[in-house]
Amino acid sequence: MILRIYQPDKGQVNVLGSLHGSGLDDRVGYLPEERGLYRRMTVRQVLRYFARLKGIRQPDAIIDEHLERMQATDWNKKKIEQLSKGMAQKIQFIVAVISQPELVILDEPFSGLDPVNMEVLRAEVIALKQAGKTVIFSTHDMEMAERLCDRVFMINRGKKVLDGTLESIKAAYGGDAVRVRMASGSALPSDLPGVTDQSLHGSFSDLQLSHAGVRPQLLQALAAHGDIEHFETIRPSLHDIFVRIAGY
Amino acid sequence: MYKILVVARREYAAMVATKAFLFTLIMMPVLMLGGVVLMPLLSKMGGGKTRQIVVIDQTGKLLSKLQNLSDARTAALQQALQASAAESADEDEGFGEQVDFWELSGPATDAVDDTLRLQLSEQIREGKLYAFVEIPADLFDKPAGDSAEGKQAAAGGKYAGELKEAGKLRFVSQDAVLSSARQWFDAVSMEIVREHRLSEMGIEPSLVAQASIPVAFEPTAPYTANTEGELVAEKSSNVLVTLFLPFGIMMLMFMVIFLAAQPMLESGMEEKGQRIAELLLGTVSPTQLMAGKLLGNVCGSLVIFVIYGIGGWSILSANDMSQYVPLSLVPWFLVFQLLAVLFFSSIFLTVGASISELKEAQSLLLPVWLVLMAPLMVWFAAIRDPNGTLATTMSLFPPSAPLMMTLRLATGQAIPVWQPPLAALLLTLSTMLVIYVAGRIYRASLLRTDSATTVKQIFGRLKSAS
Repeated sequence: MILRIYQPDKGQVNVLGSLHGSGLDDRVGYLPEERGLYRRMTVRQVLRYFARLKGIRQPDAIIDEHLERMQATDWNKKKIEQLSKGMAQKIQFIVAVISQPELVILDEPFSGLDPVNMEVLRAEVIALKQAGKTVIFSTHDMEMAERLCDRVFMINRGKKVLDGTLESIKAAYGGDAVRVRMASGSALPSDLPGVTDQSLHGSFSDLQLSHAGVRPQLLQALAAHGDIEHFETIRPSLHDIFVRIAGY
Repeated sequence: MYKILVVARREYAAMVATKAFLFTLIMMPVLMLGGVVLMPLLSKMGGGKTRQIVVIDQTGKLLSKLQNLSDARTAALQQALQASAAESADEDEGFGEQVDFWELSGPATDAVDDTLRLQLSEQIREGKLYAFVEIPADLFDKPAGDSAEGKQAAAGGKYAGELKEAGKLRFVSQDAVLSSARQWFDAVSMEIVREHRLSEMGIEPSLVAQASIPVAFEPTAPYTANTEGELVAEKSSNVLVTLFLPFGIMMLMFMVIFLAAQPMLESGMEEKGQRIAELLLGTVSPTQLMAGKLLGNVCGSLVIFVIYGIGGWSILSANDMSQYVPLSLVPWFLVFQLLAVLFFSSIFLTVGASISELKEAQSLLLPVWLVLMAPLMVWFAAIRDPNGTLATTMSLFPPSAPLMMTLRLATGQAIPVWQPPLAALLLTLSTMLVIYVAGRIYRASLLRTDSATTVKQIFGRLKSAS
């Protein structure tokens, strides 16, 4: 809808502070999940074409700059059909950002990439962020989202289930779990106050609490049970939060 | 507008700057005109042989005459070939026939029976003999032939009362039906028999020859007057101008439409199949995309027109026939060509965007092809009567209008002045409607991963586009 590929059933879409119209197309870059380029065109022809569609009339210098940053200067005359998946993905990333858009939408940009290319692309995304661009990054890889995103918006079954900064989300979903190890290494009693679930994590026990406020009572109960060697409030990962919200 | 031009430029380059385009550009006229031009040329290959023919002359009167005529023909041909090989041979033999020489001889034995016929047939199969000709003994006694007209003509004359079933000359060879030798025997035998009959009737054959000198009817178009009111002689009409020029001009338009529309199908399929459409639609609107594609396509079609136009003009000029080209037709041709390309290309593009595999296009495009090619099936009738109901109706029906109206105009016959503009207007309105409908279906189809394999499904997408 931001790109006007689909029209909203109702309501309005505001993009970059204004009601979206065709004039904004050049200020938005898009890397779709299902990628495809004209197979019989060369890399430079494809980049020139999409650059011109984004309103850049003399795109060669910008193309050179991007190819250099992607370590792809030798691919100029290669046809798209000659490129590996990773190489084609880099070209498509250049297509998305060649017009230096203010808003970049990246849909699963790292899928299928080898670790080296993944790092190259991750650095580029971070560079966009540092340059003040807004990047909407769609992914199923929670670890990557946690590494790259300032703000997280989660959709489950078509509905928004999470929306906030990484810190606020972790704060909201953190603090209600603790990791414990007794000095004696003995098992914990099953009737600890406020504990709804226990699981073993190596030599530690992870305790799910009914709410963060029961931690003092739990600590007292554990102290009464024996010598406490380790007591840590667990900060859940985005993955854990997603699994918890999605109810898997 | 700039984005439309960018899309158009890419589409144009994708259309004309490919080896496939050049190949098709060359092969299309070869395939279309191959039967007319190449086959006779190819049939000339291998000529110049001396072929042995045995003549079983049961009349005892024809063999020496036939040998003399054959020798005279050989001498004339060799003389002509020496003077101007190809041209002279063409004049003597007619366009496209082999120039072989024949050596005639009688059979080795006097006994004419089935054994002889089988022996000669075996020699033909073994390649030792080209053919044998059997002339029945009663050839000169059977003037009526097989035809009812012959019998009727002979009934009141000298041969009245002598009629019975006629004997036939027989030409036996591997290629008896198409053999130019058979045609030659046919002609000279007829001439010899006719002379014999005339002599029997007491008529001097040379008098008949004089009486038979044909009078010439020159086919001529209606006269016009110049600015001073003087009668202006129109160019002499001939088969080329009357038949092949209008047909050729119609074929030119068909080739332009075909070569322009087909890449649109592939383009729509590629962008949908390769998932390029999603990337494009993040940059341009479907309307801009389609407009750019059609614009590029129209430019490509103009290139085809120019190439074929120059090629055709060069061929006609080289044969001193350029004066027959109706240059006044060019503006109408271009109008109908542009509208036809827009009309059919938008349909092909939409179908391309609606399917996943080329074979799915076949059933969808069959009705389109039928309508487009309908004028090619009735062109002869349309040329004979360009103002008839069939030609007029088809030239006003938008899908068949480009080819049929161009054909009618190219005949040079007077067509009501209001008909070409009306046809163009109807085609323009139809093209606008097709582009509008096709654009909506195109937009609804581009991002779908499934195919629409029936016309109903395609129009279902029009509903979803709403």
